[in-house]
Amino acid sequence: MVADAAPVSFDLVDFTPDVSAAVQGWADTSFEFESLTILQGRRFHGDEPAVMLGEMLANGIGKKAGDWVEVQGAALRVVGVFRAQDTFSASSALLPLHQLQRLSDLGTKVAGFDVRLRPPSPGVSPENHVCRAQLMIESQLPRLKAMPAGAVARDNHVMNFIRSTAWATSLIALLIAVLGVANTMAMSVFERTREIGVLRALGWRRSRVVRLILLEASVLGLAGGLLGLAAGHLGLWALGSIRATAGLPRVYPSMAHFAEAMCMALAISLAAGFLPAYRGARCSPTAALRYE
Amino acid sequence: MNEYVLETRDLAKFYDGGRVQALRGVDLQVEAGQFVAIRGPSGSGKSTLLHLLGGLDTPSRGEVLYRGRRLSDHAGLGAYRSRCVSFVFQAFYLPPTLSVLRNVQVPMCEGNLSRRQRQEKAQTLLREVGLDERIHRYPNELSAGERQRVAIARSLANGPEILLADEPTGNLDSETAARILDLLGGLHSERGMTLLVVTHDPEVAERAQRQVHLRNGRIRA
Repeated sequence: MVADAAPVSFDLVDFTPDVSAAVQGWADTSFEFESLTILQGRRFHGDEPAVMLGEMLANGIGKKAGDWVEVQGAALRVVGVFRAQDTFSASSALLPLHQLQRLSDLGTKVAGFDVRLRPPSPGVSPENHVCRAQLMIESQLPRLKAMPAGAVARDNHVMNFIRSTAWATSLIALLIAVLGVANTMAMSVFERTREIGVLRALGWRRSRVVRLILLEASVLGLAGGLLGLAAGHLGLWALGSIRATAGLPRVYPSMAHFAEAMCMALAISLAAGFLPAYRGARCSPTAALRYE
Repeated sequence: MNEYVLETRDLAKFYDGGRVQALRGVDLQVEAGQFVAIRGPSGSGKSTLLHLLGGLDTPSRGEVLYRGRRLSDHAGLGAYRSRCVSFVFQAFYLPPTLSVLRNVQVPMCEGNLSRRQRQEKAQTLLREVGLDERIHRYPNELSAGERQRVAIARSLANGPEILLADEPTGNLDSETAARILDLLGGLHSERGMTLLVVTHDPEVAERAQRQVHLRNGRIRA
């Protein structure tokens, strides 16, 4: 059932006074190397005193293949720079397992094993296959807990905390955006009460007045969304340029993210503009014309 | 067969739960094509009457009939305001961010005209009021008399049968006021429009075919 198993260790290392990053210790024979794309140099061999840097970390600390870095007081040669499939790995460094164990005083201990399974038998679902493998590993090695890679990421306390914080921050930002647009539209409608009264006196139906105000809210929301995207992009660039934050995992928003943000901005502005629009349209033309 | 274009029956309007009685039972009949001046001291209910006739407000009691049909029976007062009546206000009420040409097109938004048709119609109306050379100006670039002429052109946008004017010369000097009155008089005689003008000005009233005097919310005998 198990095709491969590779020991792995972790540590957190200061690469510069400003930049800390995760370091993973891999065995020279680890199958995990297959998931990396070498951008510069080569992978390490054996237990050589060498380090490979994820491309984000390499950019953050300004190192390339052939340079030297200091890890826990030891000078290690950067033998390669790699691109990984996930942001965490791309922002970390790789050391030969024994080098990391030595530098981190771990002795012969490892943090875990990455396990690769053989393909499931015909008729067995991947989920069942993984579940059976978990039971088998835990029954044969009672002191170990086997978890699917997805569950490790999902149940990771740090990741959960980061995810919750991101959601909370996003919700607060959304709330502020709703209040901002609603306030702006309410003020706009308030200041233009008489103009709305004139439009109603000239025969504009309530629905047209509502549409006009919602159109304004949409334009406001979309303009705000575009400005927000530009500011966010600039902010990400700035975070990547500052030494203190250069080692943090970077975010590369896709076009889908941009589209999602613009849709959200539009939806928020329409929702926030609806009440002022409705109230503006409900106002009696006579009362609106008398409004000072 | 009812020959009145506008008629009110026991029309009353109260505010503040009845403490303020702006109109107290007005019976008025206006024939098609008539030029009526509504006069009276401040607070006598002139503007309230005009607003009720124009469907801008609903009466507390009584009813307004347009060609024998109660306004409350109309599918929407918006449609009545859009097609049957039109307003000219003392303060012009021209949105300052729209050019003269766009201002005149505002009432046409409810119609089925194309953008080009709206523009052509607005240009024609502005030519009629003598402002064809100022169509791309903005209201704050015009004199008070010119602004009122834009407002009159705007009021004609949907070809209404009735024009309701609330102190149309109130903000104008006497010479400009006379020109605006000539323009309104021309609309009445050439287009056969029914014209109801609220005014303090005896000169305006003298041009009307009929004068209605209001006092304390009632028509003075």
